[in-house]
Amino acid sequence: MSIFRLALRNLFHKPWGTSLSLILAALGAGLISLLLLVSWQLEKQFERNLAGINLVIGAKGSPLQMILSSMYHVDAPTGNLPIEGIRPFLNPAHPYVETAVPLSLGDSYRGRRVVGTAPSFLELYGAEVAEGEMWTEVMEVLAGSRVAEELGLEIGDNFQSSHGLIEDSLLIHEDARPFRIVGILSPTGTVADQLLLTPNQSIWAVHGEHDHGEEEHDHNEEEHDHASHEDHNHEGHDHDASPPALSGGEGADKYDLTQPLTNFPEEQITSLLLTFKGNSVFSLNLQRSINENTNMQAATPSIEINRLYDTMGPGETILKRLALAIVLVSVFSIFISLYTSLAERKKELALMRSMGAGPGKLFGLLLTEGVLLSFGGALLGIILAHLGLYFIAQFVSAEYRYDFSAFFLLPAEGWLLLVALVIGVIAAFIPALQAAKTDVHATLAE
Amino acid sequence: MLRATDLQYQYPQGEAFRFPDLNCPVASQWLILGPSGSGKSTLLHLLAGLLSPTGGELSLNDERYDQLSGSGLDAFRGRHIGMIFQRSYFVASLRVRENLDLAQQLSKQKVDKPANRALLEELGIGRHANKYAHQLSIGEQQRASIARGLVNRPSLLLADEPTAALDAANAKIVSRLLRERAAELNAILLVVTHDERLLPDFEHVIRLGDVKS
Repeated sequence: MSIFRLALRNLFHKPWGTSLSLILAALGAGLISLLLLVSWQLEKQFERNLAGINLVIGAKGSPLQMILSSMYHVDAPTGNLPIEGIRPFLNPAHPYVETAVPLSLGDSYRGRRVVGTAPSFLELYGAEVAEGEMWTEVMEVLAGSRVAEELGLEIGDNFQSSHGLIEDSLLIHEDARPFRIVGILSPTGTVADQLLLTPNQSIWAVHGEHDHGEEEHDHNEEEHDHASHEDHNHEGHDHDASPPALSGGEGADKYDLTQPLTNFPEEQITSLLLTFKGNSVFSLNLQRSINENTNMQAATPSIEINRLYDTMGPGETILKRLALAIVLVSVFSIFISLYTSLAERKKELALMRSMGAGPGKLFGLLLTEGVLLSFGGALLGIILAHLGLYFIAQFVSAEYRYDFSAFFLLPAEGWLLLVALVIGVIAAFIPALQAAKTDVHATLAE
Repeated sequence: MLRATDLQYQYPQGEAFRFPDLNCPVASQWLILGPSGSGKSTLLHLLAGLLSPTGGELSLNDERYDQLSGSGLDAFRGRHIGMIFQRSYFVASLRVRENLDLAQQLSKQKVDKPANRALLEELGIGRHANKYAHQLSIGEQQRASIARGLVNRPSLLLADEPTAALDAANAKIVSRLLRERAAELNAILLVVTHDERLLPDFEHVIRLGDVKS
């Protein structure tokens, strides 16, 4: 029987003490592992969806809300922008702007966001048309890979979008020409997988009878309570009659995709994603200039995301401290468990010495028991953390359509196991030393 | 042959013992009698190599082992000496048969599971092989303890008050088993006790009187 097996048998022989030490070690390691996993996944999601975007321009309001709604599609838009206001950035000959991707947000289909945009959106997120073809007409839609899979969308399918970002049959644009799926995108691992993309003009067509005259409305589309689309009246919106209400297909027919957006100065978009030709100074100056001199706001995604991290920071720090406290308690638990067991087992240890076991063997036995407790606990904790993440992923996926992968290992988790080994050695060292120093004669003569 | 010449031991606290010389031929069986405090256990632990003598010489089959220390002494003890204690100590997490296997393993002998099982059968506790020690009666525990002492086929079998906790009937059985098994192995048997009931069973008797120096 190896020392390892004997150590295991000794631990199983005291199931309650062993369980307590294991649970404490598992709690500490599990919490740390879960924090590592969630924060890594969030960072990856944020990084992937940054997509090289340098600046986002939108309606005045919370810059973080604008970033979250325009780039991560998890919040409500801050409002709309007139095409006229962003005309310079839509000029392909702009000296500093590499790409300008206009977004028209606010509609959804069965809880998935319908985003009006330009073909350059696909380049931004590295998406390609995997099936079907690129849109050529208004009301044509490219479905992200995940949304197509989840909703069972196929090329040629038609649907009516809803106003707002929640699923509500009362908000369906029943009077508008239906959207038609013409293509399905390849998976990108970005937010593009979760969206239904259509030209901006499609959103204008659906909303033909709404004219949001000014961009200054900072409201949450999700909170709208429309009795019906035809008769609703947005508080704080300018519902003047220009352009005149379009019914059904009329809206769609008004727009021609061959014309640039700037040909429709009376229309609006929600936000504009900009990438620059490698000049960060220009980005900062432009951001300041827009924020100070216009009715629009501009925000740098990386700065806003860092702010978001800072907001989450204190909570994360508290959890980390809690995890460390639990780890510390688990070290003591292992130490106490082994130390008290020494008293119970001193005859047994002396007996082993009398049978030929050297002091090193007893030292190794106790050390192995400590390491098994800490390593086993940490392993259990990591497994539980992944299971926990799996359930969190189900919620996040259902709520925000974001994919959290639960079944992968971070290198940091390998380090966590290594630290658990060291902790086991530290916790067991003194009891192991005591075991090695067992006075066989005195113990057996008692 | 076990030889102990001018064997002495002084405890760090000051108590000192000087023991009579021993010359025990192979297969001889000895009873060492003495009252409490007479140094019986000290002598036994010296002979077992659990204590290092502060004076004198010890040899078994012409091999000096009083000068061995550390792993050399552990290995010598494991290989040549079997011990049976007054109270039966076992590794609590292991079954009876596994305790026998462990004794072989710790002395770096080849673990012979069938032979160990057969030994338990011979000692009348084969049916308890898969039990834990605490599930056995005291008499059965002492038999299992004897089995463990014999498992490495030692040249020297030392028993410390093996019958002290037993009733007369069980004491007789344990005494007989010890003598029979030691004879089978050609081992020197030394039983240290204050139990006068064992007196008629042994040919050689040493009474430890005042061995304090």
